[in-house]
Amino acid sequence: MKNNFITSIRVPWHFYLCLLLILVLSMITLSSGDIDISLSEILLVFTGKGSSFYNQVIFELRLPRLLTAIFSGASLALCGLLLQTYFQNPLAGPFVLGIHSGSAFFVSLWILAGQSLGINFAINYSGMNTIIASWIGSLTVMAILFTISVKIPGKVILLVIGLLLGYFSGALINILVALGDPHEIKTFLTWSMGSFHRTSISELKIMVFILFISTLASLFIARGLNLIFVGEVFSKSLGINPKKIKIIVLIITSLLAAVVTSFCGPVAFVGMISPHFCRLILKTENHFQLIPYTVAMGALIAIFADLLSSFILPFGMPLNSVLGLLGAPFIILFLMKNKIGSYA
Amino acid sequence: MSKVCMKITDLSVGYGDNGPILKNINIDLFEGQFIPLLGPNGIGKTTFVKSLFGLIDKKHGSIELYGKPIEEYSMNERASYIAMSLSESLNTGLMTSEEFVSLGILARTADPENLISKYFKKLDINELKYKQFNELSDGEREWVKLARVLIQQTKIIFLDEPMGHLDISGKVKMISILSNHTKETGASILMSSHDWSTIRKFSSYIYVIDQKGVFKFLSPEDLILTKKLNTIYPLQTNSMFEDNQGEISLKIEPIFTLDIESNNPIKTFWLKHALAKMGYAENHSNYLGVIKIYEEEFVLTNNRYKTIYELMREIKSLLAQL
Repeated sequence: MKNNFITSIRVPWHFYLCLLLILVLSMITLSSGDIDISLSEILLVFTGKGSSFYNQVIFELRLPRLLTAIFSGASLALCGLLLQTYFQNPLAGPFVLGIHSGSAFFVSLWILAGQSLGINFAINYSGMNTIIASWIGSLTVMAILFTISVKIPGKVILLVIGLLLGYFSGALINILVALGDPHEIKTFLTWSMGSFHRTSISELKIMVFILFISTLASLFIARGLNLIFVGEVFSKSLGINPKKIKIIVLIITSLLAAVVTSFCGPVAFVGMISPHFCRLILKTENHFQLIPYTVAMGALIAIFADLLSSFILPFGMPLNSVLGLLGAPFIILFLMKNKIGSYA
Repeated sequence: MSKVCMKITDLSVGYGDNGPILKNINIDLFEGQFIPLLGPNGIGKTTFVKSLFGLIDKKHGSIELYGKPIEEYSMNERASYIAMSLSESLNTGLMTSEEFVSLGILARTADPENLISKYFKKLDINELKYKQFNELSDGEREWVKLARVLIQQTKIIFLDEPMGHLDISGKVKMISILSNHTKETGASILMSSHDWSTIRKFSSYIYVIDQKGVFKFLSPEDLILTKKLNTIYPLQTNSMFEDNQGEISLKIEPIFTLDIESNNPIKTFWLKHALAKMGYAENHSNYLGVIKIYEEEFVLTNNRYKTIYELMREIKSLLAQL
């Protein structure tokens, strides 16, 4: 038997293929840049025998960026998968539902409010305080989405509401930008285009920690996820309280989205697309398989997009432009293939 | 007498602040019993079944599962005693039937694949195993949903309209599978249904909810003999209760009569069955003649007809000339 939903984690072979691809793309990412570093030299650096210059380039510039791409991609993908299950909607994702924008608004509000109160924050959009602001933002949006989705069910409506929430917080952000000083605006705009290269090692640790806990927690409730995906009464009849599962999902997804947003800016589409690829490849809805695979797929897509945005395309293209160019057509194709009516 | 698995005393259920939908229900569910639950549309059969699992707060009364109130069991424990399939819409995405069925397995099993195969074989639906659940036909889905319920291996099973989308042979197959299941496993099955015609043929006992929401436990034949079928299914202005068939049928204005000569009672029965729909009555002023029934043909005023279909075409044109 290929798939089953029984209470055990089955890691599909695709997962290992995905890991291999991640490794290959990682090597390419590490070796390319303003200075090309050959593969053998990278190996020397990792075995502790590299030159101090290469050491610096790898450990201080390229590795943090690579790891940020890996872990934020993985976090977003997991977040997207859980959102899709929660809303029973294959098109849900932290960016599409406006969760990123909610975070972004609270982060910018936090910084502006801090300034007007005379507190001089370093404007780097990271650190513990921005995570908290970001989390408040993502939780607020999630809460609004949750309340509305109970009152107006419908898969496309959810996306429309997400879009509107995105516009709404976008409008508020614009007001803040209009009030802010030029230097700050530039930092903010670069941040809002999404990027993996501003994250420090200590921030990475937070991200890895949250991702690790979230993945474990998701695997722990995987059976519940399989059941609430099918239906609420259905899951109750099989002994699972959907409320408990949904609260856990709410906390995990808002945390994941918040951390990534505060460190990397709103990164588009990775969260929505990764679970899709996994479902289409594995042809399953089994979360015991989907969770590990989606996490790996998210990392892979993020590295790939980062690679495209910084090295392959002739000019440094903003990450979100790359993701938008890839993601938007994907959604349209998906809707056309699945006939939009069946998702209304 | 076999063991009581569920004891329902003085139960009233309903939603919100509106009065109870169903009142004063007193029922004992016994192990090894397969009993259909009949009632008019919208009377609250599903609500009743949901309340037995504790999904809806009851207004009054008690529900005991093996001597202990249902509320004292955790959701997980309830699922290990009671399996149910409600007619809610299921969002199954890319799930195959097999995956869907496996959702019913509650505990870690040594050989889940074997267990799943066993139930697909039991219901004789192996060909559906690897098909995507939401691409199955409505009838096929009922079978897969049943496999999902049976694999839960519980003492009590509630099924909501499992025969709704099945054809006649499917209905008979499901009834025989369910009654065998109760004999083999000692499970108690409560099945809601709208299908009076099928149920009256196969079930010795039924629960009925009448239009006032009163519960009764009886044999279907009692309903026919006491002419109370219309307390459950309301008679429309142009419908009537036929006590020789135990069915509700359309009132048809009598417009003609004819004589039938035959020594074949079965052919006579079905010929009358067909004639009745055209407006035939024993006594009427419009007399169309004599139909003689032979081995191979029907004869009406020297014309021969191979089938009832041909004969009815002729009668229809005769009636048009009147």
